[in-house]
Order: sequence, then C-alpha cells, then structure tokens
Amino acid sequence: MEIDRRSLLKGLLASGALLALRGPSWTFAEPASRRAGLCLLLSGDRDADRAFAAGVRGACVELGTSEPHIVELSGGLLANADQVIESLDRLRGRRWVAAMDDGSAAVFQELARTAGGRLLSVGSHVSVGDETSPVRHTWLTASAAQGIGGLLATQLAGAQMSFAITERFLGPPQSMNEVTSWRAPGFFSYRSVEPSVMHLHCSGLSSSAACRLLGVAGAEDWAPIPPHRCTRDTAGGQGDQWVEALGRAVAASALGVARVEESCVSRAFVHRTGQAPRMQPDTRVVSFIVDL
Amino acid sequence: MASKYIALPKGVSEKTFTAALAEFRRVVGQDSVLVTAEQLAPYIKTMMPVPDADHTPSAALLAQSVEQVQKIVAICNKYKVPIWTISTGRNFGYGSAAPAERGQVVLDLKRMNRILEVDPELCFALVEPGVTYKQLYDYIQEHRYPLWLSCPAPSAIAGPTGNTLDRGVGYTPYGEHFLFACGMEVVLANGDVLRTGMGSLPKSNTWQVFKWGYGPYLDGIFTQSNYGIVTKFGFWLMPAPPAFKPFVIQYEQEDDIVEIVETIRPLRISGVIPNAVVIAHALYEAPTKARRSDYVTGPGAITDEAVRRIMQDHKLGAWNVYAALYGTQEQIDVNWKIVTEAFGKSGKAKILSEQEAAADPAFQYRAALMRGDMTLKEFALYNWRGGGGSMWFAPVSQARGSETLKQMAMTKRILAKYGLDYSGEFIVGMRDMHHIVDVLYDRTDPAMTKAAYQCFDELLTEFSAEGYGTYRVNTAFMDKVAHTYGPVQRRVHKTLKNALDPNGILAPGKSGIR
Repeated sequence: MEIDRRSLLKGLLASGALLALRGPSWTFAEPASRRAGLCLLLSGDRDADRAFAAGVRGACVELGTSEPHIVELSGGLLANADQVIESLDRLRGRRWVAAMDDGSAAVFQELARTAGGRLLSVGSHVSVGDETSPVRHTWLTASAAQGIGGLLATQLAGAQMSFAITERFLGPPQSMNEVTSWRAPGFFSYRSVEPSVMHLHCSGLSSSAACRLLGVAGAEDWAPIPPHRCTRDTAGGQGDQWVEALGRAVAASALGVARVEESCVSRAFVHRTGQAPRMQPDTRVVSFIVDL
Repeated sequence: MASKYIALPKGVSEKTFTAALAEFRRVVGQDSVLVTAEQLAPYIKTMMPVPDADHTPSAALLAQSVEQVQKIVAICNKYKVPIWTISTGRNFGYGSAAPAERGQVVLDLKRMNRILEVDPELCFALVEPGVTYKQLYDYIQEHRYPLWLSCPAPSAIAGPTGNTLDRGVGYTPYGEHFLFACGMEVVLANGDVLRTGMGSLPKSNTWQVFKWGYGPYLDGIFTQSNYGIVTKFGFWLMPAPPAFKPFVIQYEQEDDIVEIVETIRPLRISGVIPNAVVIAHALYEAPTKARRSDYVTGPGAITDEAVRRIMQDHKLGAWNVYAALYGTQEQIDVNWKIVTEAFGKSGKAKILSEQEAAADPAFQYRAALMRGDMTLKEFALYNWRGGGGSMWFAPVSQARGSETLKQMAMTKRILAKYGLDYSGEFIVGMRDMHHIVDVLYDRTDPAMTKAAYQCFDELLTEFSAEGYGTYRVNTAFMDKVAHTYGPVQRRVHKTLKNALDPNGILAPGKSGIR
C-alpha cells in the first residue's frame, strides 16, 4: 500500500501534475540575471541516489529551470573515478549537485578540492532502520546564505516525519540589527551564545530533550527567540520520501531559492511527531553542492 | 567583533594576518591564496570524532615552486604564522588534509606536480610532492617502462611523497615505502634548501641510487615530522617481474590466526613471500560485498553469529590471507610448492589461486594492490556502517602468532564496550606486524561519536600499557601517541624542532611536536 502510494506520488511528480496541489512556491533570492543555473547532477546508481535525483528534478520543474545534466555513475564513484576526474576537468564553470554513498563521498570531496572546487555545502544524511531514531542530517555549509536546513525542515515537518538536522556555517555569522530566526508551525526557537551562537528549533519535544538528542551540552543556557523575529522558509513541495525531499531542498539551495538567514554559527532543527514512528529503511546519502 | 576570516592562527591578530596574506599574495598571486569559506571548506573534511572547528584552516596557499615555498616560510617567520603542508592531502582516517590545529594555514603543494625523472634502467623516480600515483602510473604506461609502483589503498588519488613522509605502506615487495626512499630536497624553516644524501654534492648523479651520503643520515627526521618541507622526493621502483601469482588462503576460525602468522613468518623472513602479507578479518573484507544493515540493526557491536552468516553468504574466511609470488615462472613454481606445503600442513587452510578467486571482488582489489595497480575499492569500508567516521588504529607487534590473539582480544573487547565492530587486519612485514583496525562510526550520531572518541583513547591507553606502540595516528590523538613513547624522545624531538624551526612555523602539533 505504502509502496503504491509512493509510486503514484513519484509518477505525479514526474508529470508535474502534483505541482498544482502544492502550497506556496519557492522564490528566488536573486533576480534571474544573477541566479546560478544548475547544470550538473552527479549521482550514484543506488535507489537512494535515484530518489535524490527525482527530488532535484522536481525542484527544477517547480522552479521553472531546465533539468540538470545528469552524470550517473554505474557502480558508484569507486568504480568510476576516472570518469569523475575527467568530468571535473571538462565541466568547469558550473554548479554541481551530487549524491552518493560514504565511500564515494570521501573520494569525491578530495577530487573536487584537487580540481579547485568551491564547496558550498556537504551533508551527511542517515536513516538507521529502526523505529526509535529520527532521520539525521548534518551539514557543513559555507555560509548562512547557503543554508539548507530550513528548507528541508519545512518539507519534512509538513510530511509528518521525525528528524534531527544540524547545520554548521563555516563563514562568519552575518551581522544583523536584531536576531532573526526560522520558524514553522509547532516549532519553538531558542538561542544560545556559548560556546558559539547556535539556534535551536524544536517541535514535539522540549529543548532539553532536543539537546540530549543532538549531544549538545548546556541546555539550561537556551533563551527563547520571540516569535515576531521569526520568518518561515517557503515550503515548496512535500516529499513523501525523505531522500527525495532532501534532493528537492539541496537543489533549491543550489538554484538560489530565498531562505531564512540566521545570525548564528550553527543551528539545529528537531521534530518529533506525535504519531507512531514510521520505520525507515537503512539509508545513507552524502550530498554536495560544489562550484567548479 | 566577528573576524572576516573563518579562523585565525593562534596568537595572530586579524591585522597581522591580513598583512601576512597580502605578502603571500605577492608571492603566489591573488588566486592562489584561498580565504573564503567556499574555498576552504574542501580542506576541512576530517573523519575524527572531534569538531571540525578544531581543525579549520585560516587560509590555504597554492605554491608552484621551491622559490615560492622559500618566500612563504620567510613570511611565516616574519608574522609568526604557522603552516600545515600537504602534498595530495589524502591521509584518510589519519586526519585528511585538515591542519592539526585550528587557524593554521594549509600549504597545498598539489600544483608542484612534475615528474622530474624516471630511470627505467636504474629503476628510480624523482618527483615533486603533488605527483599522484595515478599520474606516475600513467607516465610509466605511456613510456612502456617495465616498472611497477607500490601504492597504498587509496592508490590513484594519493601520492608517493605524502604517503612515504607519513610512513605509509603498500602491498608489493617495495611496500615498506620509506625503505625504498632515496634522496629528498627539503626547504628548511630558515629558507635554506637541503638535498639529503648524495644530493648535497655538486655534480653528483647518485642522489637517487645511494641513500646514505656522508655523515648522519637525515632523511628520517623529515618523515612524520615538522622539520622541513619536502619539495622533491626520490624513490626506487620495482622492475616488473616476468610472472606474478597472487593468491588467497582462507581459514574458518578466528583463533587460526596463530597458525597463520607462525606459517607466514619464516616465509617472509626468508623472502619466499616477498610482499607484506595481509591477513584480513571477514569484517574487513565484507564491505566490498555487503552492508552491515543487511545483517544487523540497532546499537551494539555486530555479533559473532552475524559474522558467521556473512562468511557463509559471501564465501569469506574468518581470516583471509592475501599474498603474491613474483619472479620468473620457474621461481614462482618452486616457491608456490613451498607455500602450499607450508599452509597445507594442518589441513585448515583453503588455498585459492588467482584463477579460483578471480570473480571475488575482495580478491580483485587485493590482487590489484599487490601489483601496484590503481583501485579505490577499499573505500567501500566507509559504507559498512556509514556516517563518515573513521580512525585507523595501528599498533605494532612482533610477527608472532601469540601476539595476534592477545591483540585481537583486547581490540574486540574495547570496541564492543563502545558498541563498535572489529574491522581489522594484520599485515606481516619483515619481522614486525601491523595490526590495522578501522574504527568505523557514524559521525551523524552524537552518542556514537562520543563513544568512538572514548574507544580510541582507551585503545591507545591499553595497548601502550602492554608495550604496543602505534606507528601512525590521526591528528586528534598525535599528542597522546607521542606521550606513549616517553619523555626523552619528546625532548629530543623538541630540541630538534627548536634548532631547525625556532619560530615554530612548520606544522605545530604534527606527531605531537611543537
């Protein structure tokens, strides 16, 4: 039953019919003349990689951009490193979105560095195949301007999925006149300044429980962020599978969709649904956005 | 006020750092000084259970010549800016390319990638640090030289200079890489350029053929150290043998490891088996064929019962011995008889020739490594549990069977205490044995990450207490390992450091040396 529903949704997504049913569309941060054009998707050939690719294509359809050029690595990067090296050399001046397994990702990041790539974000995404753990996402992102966590959190919360997302910004936090923060229905937001500024957005559990889940110390130091300072990332579509939703969010970020920028060094989004947890298959994906 | 840089060197103000960057730009050019978050993010990948922020560089410099390196160290001395030198930066599981300490400037030598000489008769190469094994492999193929390389497991993307300087190993008879190093060019912290061995002699043509030169042998102090920046590196290449016979021998029980090592040792010391023999546990080989989640889910180390099922499903032994014979066909035939008789005595060994194991993906990549071919298949280890966490634990012991059971029991007990699997192999060298364990964990799981740190710390503590030293370690634990070798060695290291690099600009913290 569940599989049939997913297949139906994927079919609708591919045909674009689902778009008419969706909520508010994404908007771009930049005018058309200054937007990055997504041109290349590098993907493995696992089911998870294909679900990610479906999400990328869905985002492109919704945003009215052309579909990316797709490089699918049959057998993964470990069997096709020469192909990737050649592509990195040949396809310069473009933005790459990539999804692959952990072993391939270890190599890909090294190859991208050698090729002079600029890494906008790298994320590790895991569902561990039991009913007690939420799907986990950890991102290292160059700057808040490339933050993806809010885009994904909005989608996953809308799809009633439990998740834990952490995102660390490498660049210095932007200075803002007042604290700004992401929000979504049912989420409460908090700010901590020690040891560095972090924002925590949680729903369905307390801030202290969220901190325990994230392994963050000092739960007592969190100060609530008043709701009037909060802004919501527009949702875009709601992926039924988390990997597909991930692909949508990563592509949206790569394409320059406007998102909430927060004046912090790191942030986390934790959501626990009131429903019985859904068993997620053991799935692991590493995502990249790289400019070459 | 927030800095405009993503990190600053320890004790260096933003103003001073800005001035240093301006001088770096004058030397290497605007585009070769990387300071933005997007440019530096690729240098931050670590696989250790510590925050990436602890190893964030402040900048990266892309040097292209020895002269530029000399000018860079002069600027570093002037502004007291520390640099962390990488050649190809592939030190996976040992720290990758990220510096040992936050704020250090990465000196990336990837653009110094000229193959300066390959001599097909004397069988040596002289290369710059950015040369990769793949680059050299292609060069040798293109010129049809009858030469073989010896590569570590990340063969294609790693390079001989970085691997040898970190005392890495390969899988051919030339696998103890530093043993086959011959001559270095080193930029010292004061800007002097030292050529070691015969390289210091004007008009000498013996730099890459005679290692020792005259007076104290210096090459060793530039390995696993921070006493200089190696800008040229010579090493010996193996003549391609007329014949090559890789094989695998499987054993069904974990405690067969004693017999295996006792059988191998005389064959290694006598040279019957000329390459380092790998004795890989089933869980080290399984990732090329299966995923952990196919067998177990939930917390805790994998059970012995699950390991047995993996062995049955994927035709693996509890131990899988990989080695090869090299030489003429006649030599190989003679040695194969010796090998099969030695391993066949007890009746426990299942000996598979290349033909019999040809379809096995684990054997395929092992055979490729033993002939110096390029393969990245060992990276499948990182898919076993997933999540990007990996630390190589590498204690050394005598090549005796009794050591193996003791080490394996200790390792499995400590790993299991923290819910981690034993993915290990023993590599039998000349007379030593490296016990290589990939401590794999999921970095997205905070509890497991914390457990992995504690586990690794305990492994180092318990093994050193038993007299087992670690030969190589990731940057988060370098101080701890240096400490296990005692105060006198540390003082000598520091004395050398103070003499050669009084301002401490070269890779502070490398091997615990500051």
